[in-house]
Amino acid sequence: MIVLHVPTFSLAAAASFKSPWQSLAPRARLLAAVALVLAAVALPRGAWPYLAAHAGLTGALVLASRVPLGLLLGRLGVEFLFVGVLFASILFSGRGEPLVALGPLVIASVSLRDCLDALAKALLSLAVLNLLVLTTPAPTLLAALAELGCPRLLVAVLESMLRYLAVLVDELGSMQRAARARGSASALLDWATLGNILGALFLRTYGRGERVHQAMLARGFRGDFPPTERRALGVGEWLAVIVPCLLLIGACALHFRSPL
Amino acid sequence: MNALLLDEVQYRYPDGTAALRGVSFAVGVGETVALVGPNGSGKSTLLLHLNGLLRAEGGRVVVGGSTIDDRTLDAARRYVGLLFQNPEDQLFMPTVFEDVAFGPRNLGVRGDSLRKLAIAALEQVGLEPARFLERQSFNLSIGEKKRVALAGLLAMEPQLLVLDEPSAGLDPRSRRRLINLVRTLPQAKLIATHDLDMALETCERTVVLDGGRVVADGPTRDLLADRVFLEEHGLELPLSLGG
Repeated sequence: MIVLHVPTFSLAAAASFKSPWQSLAPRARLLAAVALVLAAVALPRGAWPYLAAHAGLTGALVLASRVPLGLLLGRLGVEFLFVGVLFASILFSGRGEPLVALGPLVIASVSLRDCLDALAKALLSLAVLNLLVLTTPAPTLLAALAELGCPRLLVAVLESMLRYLAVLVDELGSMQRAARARGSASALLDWATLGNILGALFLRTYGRGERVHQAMLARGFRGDFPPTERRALGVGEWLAVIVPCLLLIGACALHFRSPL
Repeated sequence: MNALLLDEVQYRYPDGTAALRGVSFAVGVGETVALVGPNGSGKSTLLLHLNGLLRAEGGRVVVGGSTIDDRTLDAARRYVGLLFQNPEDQLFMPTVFEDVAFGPRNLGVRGDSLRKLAIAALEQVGLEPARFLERQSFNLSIGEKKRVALAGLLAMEPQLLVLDEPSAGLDPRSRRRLINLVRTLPQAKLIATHDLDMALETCERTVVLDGGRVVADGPTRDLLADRVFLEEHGLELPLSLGG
């Protein structure tokens, strides 16, 4: 269960650094990151100069945030393990002129271009998202969502999900240990035990939900959430939002002009 | 005036089992009373009545001079601070500050005064505000969680503190700190506990509940020294009295 804990709860490893990027209001950071990811996705295939411009801006943000490069690359490495399979399937899809043949697998020109394009876009999007989560703790991100007008109830549900994830993971871990202690070989492999554990976990979650609600009522909760307090964005913050948005608009324009 | 008055309070669980069969006692302003009894005696159910989370089916619950009903519910919740047995149930906001501020925010406190209240409450429970305000609730130790949960109540400035098993699950040092803390709080207190040594140290009076009824109400020192009576009701002599 330790493995589950680490990525979930030490995400914002660079949150306390002092840097121009961290001094931006969290909602400006969130907007900038979303615009950059959308811009990367919206670029037509093979628009290399624009991808380079995007990479330049992302690189500048990473430098401005003073996030240690090793940390960022480490996270990207783990994430690429998961998307790697997808890239392999694009690479060997065999469209266009065959370039290299590795036994039954053929790398063809169009497939290679598409693969590199997808790789670049994935890399940029993940770099931006990692930058955001490395520098912004999850509660702050949720507060930023509320400031941007996301319904307060939805944010509150996300907040309690985040809060109780750790408790649930702990409970799942202790139930698994208890099952193993009574001779179940591996609770994760034994479907009958796992099913029962998940059922028990659901019931406990339900009971906990009731108790949490009672604790909220006991402290005067009446079903409504206070309005969010927020400060106005400064010039630098507007700039940090507008530049990625311009990039997004440019990417959309290119996308609709270029033949698919 | 009494901080709390229970008058023939009755309650049945939804399946029809009688949980409280006419419970009556009072807690005076500034008084600290222990509520002891075996598992299933109705202690936790009774505590949920004290700020209207459960409503008595017979009798009345009077806090700060007014009987709890729909009209007085908000005032009762401001008057009574209820500490739940498991701090995980009580600390539901992502950061310590947000959690401590949850109650006062519901009372309409905002901005700087909210922050000041939270800081004062953390100081009162002996947690350094600079270190704890922005900590995430799930990363605290159990003792810290209990104290943050208590700070969340104190920030609402209640007149009566109702604590459900405050010392359960604490190591000796955290337990000692909690006992010292409880002794310094000026509010009236009702402490439900199986920790009879703590009851002996913190409460001048004890109410013993068994089978949904009050079976004894008197000075802690006398009640908890009566081995035969305690054993009749599923309890034992406190260790400090040779138990």
